[in-house]
Amino acid sequence: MLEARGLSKRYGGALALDKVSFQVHRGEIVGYLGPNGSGKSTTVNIVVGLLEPTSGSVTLDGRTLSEDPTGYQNKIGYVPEEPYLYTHLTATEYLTLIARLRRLPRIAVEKTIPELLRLFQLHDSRYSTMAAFSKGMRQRVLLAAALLHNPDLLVLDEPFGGLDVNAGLLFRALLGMLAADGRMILFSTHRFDMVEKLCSRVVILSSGRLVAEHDMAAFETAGTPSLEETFCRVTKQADFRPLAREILDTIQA
Amino acid sequence: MRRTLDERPWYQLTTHFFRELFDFGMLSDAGSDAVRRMLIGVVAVTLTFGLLLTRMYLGKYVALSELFHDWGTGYKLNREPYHLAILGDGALVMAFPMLIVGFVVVLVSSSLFPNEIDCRVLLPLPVSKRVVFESKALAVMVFASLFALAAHVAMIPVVVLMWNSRWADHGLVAQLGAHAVASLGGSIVTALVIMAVAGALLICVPRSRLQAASIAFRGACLCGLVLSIPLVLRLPMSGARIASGSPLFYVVPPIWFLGIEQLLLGKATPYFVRLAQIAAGTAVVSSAVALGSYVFLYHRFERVIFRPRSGSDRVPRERRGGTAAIGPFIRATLTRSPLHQAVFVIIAACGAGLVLNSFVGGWDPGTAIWAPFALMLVMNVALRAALVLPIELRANWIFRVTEDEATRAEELNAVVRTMIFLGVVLPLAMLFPVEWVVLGPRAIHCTSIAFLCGLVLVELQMAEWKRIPFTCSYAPSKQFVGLTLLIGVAAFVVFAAIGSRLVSYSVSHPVGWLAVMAILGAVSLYLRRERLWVARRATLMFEDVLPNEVEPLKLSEF
Repeated sequence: MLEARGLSKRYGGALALDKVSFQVHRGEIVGYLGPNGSGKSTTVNIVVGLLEPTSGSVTLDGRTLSEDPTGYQNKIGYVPEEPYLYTHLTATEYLTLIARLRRLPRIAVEKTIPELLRLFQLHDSRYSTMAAFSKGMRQRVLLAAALLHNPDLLVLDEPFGGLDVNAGLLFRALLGMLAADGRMILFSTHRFDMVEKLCSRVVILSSGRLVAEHDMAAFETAGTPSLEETFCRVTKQADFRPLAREILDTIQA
Repeated sequence: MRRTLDERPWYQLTTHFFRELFDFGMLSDAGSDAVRRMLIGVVAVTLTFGLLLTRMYLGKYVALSELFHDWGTGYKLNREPYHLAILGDGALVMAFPMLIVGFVVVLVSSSLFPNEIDCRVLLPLPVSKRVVFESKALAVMVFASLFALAAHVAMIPVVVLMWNSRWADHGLVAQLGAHAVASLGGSIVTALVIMAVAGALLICVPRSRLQAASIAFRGACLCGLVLSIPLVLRLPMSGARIASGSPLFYVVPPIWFLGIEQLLLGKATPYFVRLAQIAAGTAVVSSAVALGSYVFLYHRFERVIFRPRSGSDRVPRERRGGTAAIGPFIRATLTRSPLHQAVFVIIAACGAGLVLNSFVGGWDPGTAIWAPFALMLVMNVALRAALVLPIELRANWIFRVTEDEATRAEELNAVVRTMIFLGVVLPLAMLFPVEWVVLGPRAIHCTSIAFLCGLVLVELQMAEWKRIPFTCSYAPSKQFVGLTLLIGVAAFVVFAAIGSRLVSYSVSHPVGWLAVMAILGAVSLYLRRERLWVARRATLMFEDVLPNEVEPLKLSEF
């Protein structure tokens, strides 16, 4: 189980995250929703070990990052929001680099990488440097890299950006199967539809604070407000319809 | 309705390709900025060199215009030294822009033709293939012309100074016109030759080997250009040889265009005609090949640009984890990133130039003993300078999330292995044949001592190294530039002096040689052990830090 307890993060004087606590159980896909600047990426960076919290802690199966850095990191697969990778390498070289940094056995390099490249439809471009890849192709490389070491926890920060419809459907199915297989998935996104279709629970963040946490089943009960309505209410979002009307009026004029 | 210029596709594409030439299409924003700064630096150096040259030549040409000579019939004005100087200096002011244009075009040699990304991104848009190719060619021409123009503008003061003389055979305007035609022609042909070779490689070399061939071509050109700098600086002293029609200059491109200039000024001697013919021939051949490459790519781009890449799926034999991961990453970056390659090759070529220059006077044993130390030090500095420059900085998260205490020392050791290979073994291997010719079997003494001195140098240089190469941000000018230069020169002098003395001693004392070897070996092993001890305990560095010691001004003491 992934457990975040009282996570706070300050950047200078600004409080980006304020005592956020949540859990992700095995077999669960937890949607992590919030408007821009609400602290989603900060949380994700703390969970994967790229940032240290100002206070609070994250434990994975009862152990913190500082207690067992290697064991902790090897249980996590991470897909960042932007496809930041070394574009002067080929997809094979990049995955091989990661396999070796994670000290995976030779079989992973020789068998798993070509197989993953084939399954992610990158095999034909395996000798091209990733500079020639589209955003969707780079996103697929990152997903392959996140899955390469068969992690227990998958942390996805907006993983569907740039993916075409087929790849999006494939990943949705894949994430469902990974959860069914007992993996934990923390899914940070802006997209309500993806959360509704994929997640078993949703955690909503606003201005660095956790403002709501619901089982997705709760939204299926008749008479309950939808996820979108709940989100707008708890994050105090304004009604966008007057603004949309104004834009329409402007372009029509 | 008439479209404005910036609405036309060819204009937008040319602007796009022109900007792209400054970032090579594969660098991070920080890398692109570094390249832009470097290219702006090239222009600044060009302009400064022009002014410096003018200042240096001012006295020379004033003196030349007042030369007298006793011909036995009384004093008579002598125009001969002026004409010899004009030939030599004319060659220099022609060679300099060629060098600058050659340097910048080589740096962007991977972007001279439309590539796979251009075609994949642009051709699905409502833009014709013809517009894409024409815009790319135009952008390359504008890019090369920009630097050619800057180099020629820098040379204007010195050119005016040279031809504004009482001994000049023609009016200033005529001379300037002839020089401009010949010199601009030289710069354009330089760019065309590089384009022609790059185009021929693109078309002829199988795609699996294209990258290696392009890298080898770029590295060789950069190295050749840097090594040619001392030769270019010797051109002003070549006036008499040019006037005597030395066939040596048939292989010196700037002199070919000097031949054109002299022809335009009416000096149609057989020698200048021959030089002009070589220049014209080169211009025709390079234009034909460069243009032919564009036309061929235009008609067959599906087969050439989109031909499937082939390569080997064989995974290299795995060494220890850290080495296996970091070694290939360093190799790939050094060979594929033009910026990193340029930094390494240019600095290393300075060392090679220094060594070559010292051998020009003859095969002196003293030089043969000193040379390996000089080259090793410069190549170590070159490699270190390339390794600290970041690439795709935000992609370093993968190293941060996989940092492992157990493999950290191995990962850092992989960097040291690269330093030893490229900074010690490679220069020694390159110099060994020369050493053997000059020193005979004593070359073994020299090389073995130099190798161990090189190991000690690398260990000292890397004692505090805590970075995976290219993954840490880089803060330039952390210390005063003058101090850095002073330390560099001092290190060079001390390292070369101590090394040479050790070799000289070892050559004459065989037992002493073994003792020196043993001591150096022990020192390098001790330093290695210390470095690994530190590496196991230190955390990796991903943010470059400025020296944080606050220096109190101690104003109260004044």
